[in-house]
Amino acid sequence: MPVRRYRQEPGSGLAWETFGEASFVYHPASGQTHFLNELAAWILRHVDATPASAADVSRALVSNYAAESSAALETAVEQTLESLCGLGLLDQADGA
Amino acid sequence: MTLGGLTPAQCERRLDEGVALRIGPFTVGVRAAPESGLAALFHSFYPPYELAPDSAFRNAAVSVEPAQRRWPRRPRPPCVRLDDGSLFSDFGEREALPYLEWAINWCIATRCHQFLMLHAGVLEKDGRAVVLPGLPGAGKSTLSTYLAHRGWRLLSDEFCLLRPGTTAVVPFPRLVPLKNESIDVIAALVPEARLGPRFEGTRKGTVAHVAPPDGCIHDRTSATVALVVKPQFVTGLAAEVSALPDSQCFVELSKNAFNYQVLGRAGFDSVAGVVRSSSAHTLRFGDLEAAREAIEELMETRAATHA
Repeated sequence: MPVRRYRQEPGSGLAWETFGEASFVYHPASGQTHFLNELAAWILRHVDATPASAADVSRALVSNYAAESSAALETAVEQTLESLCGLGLLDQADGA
Repeated sequence: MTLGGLTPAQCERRLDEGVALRIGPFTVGVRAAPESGLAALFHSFYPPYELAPDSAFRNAAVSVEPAQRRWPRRPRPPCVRLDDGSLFSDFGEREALPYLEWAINWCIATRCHQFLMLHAGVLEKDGRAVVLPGLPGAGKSTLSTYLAHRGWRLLSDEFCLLRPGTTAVVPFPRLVPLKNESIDVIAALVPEARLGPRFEGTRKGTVAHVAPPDGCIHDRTSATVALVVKPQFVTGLAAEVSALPDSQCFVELSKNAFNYQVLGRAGFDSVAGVVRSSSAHTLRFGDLEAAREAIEELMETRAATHA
C-alpha cells in the first residue's frame, strides 16, 4: 500500500495569529479561520510544499521535542494530518 | 441644519417626501407616510441629527408604509420596505419606530463592509474605548445606556465599527432599544434618560428607545480600543470580573462580528489587532453601578500600564 504524503498547496498564503498555546490560521482559499491546538499548529507549520508522510512528521516532532517515538504518537499525527486535509489546509501529494 | 430645525409639520412633510439623515459615518434615508404615525416620534427622537442634502448617497433607505384597508387593494398591515422595494417586516398599529430602527440595522449590517462590524456596545472616555460584545440578552444595551449617562460617550450600543487594519472605532450613535425588564431598570436608575413609549408585543418583546445624549451625536471623533469586556447580566450579583484569555477573546469577537467572513483576511487581521491592543475580561453583573465601577477600574489599570 503506498505511503500517503501530505503538503501545503504552494502559495496557500496562510495567515497566522498565536496567543499562548492557541493558534488561529486564516485560509484564503476557503475564507475560513481555524482554531488549532498546539499539535495541529506545529504540524501545519512543519509541512510545507515538500511532501511528507505521517512517519516523516512524527520523526521531526520527536526530534524537535526530544520525545520518545511511539505508535500512539504516529497515530495522532496521522489523524491530525487527515483532519488538516479535511479542512483543506493540506493536500495529499499524488504519487510522491 | 439638524432635524430639530424643522417644525413638527415640516418634519411630517419631509418624511412623506423622504428625508436623509447623517448618522455616524452613514447617510440614511427615511420615508414615512403621514398615516404611519411615525412623524411625531421621529421629531422628538431625532432632532440632533444633521439633515443630508437630497442628492447625498444613501447607505440605507427605508420606507414605512401605512396599512392598506380599502378595496380594491388587498388588505395588509403597516410595513417597512427596503430601498429595493422588498418587504423587511410588517408590524402592528403604531409600532413603526422599532421596525424602522431594525430595518436600518439590517441595511447597515449587510452592506457597509468598509468597516469590520462587531456586534457590540462601545463607549469612550479619554480617547479610550471599551467594547462590550455579547449575545442578545447579555445586558449590553442596558449597560451602554447606563454608562452613556454616567460620563462615558456612547459610540454605539450595537455596532462597533472598526476601520480595517486599525483599532479605531468610528461612532455610530443611534437610539438604544431597551427590552423588557431593562426598561424599568433604566427608568428607575437613570431618570434623566429620554425614554420613549413602550412598544409591546414586538418580535423582541416590549421595546422602548432611549435617545443618546446629544453630545454623543455631535462628536464624530473616533476612539482607540483599550478594553474588551464581555458582559453577562446575572440577577442578584453585584459585579464580578474575570480575565478572558486572548484566544477566547479572538473567538468571541470574530463569531460576534456581522461581517467577519465577508472581509476575509482584513477581518482576521483587524480582530487580531484588537485582541493584541486591548485587555479582555468577562463581567458578570446584576448591579449597573457596580459594573460601571468595575469597568472604570479596569480602564484605569489599562491606562496606567499602557500610558
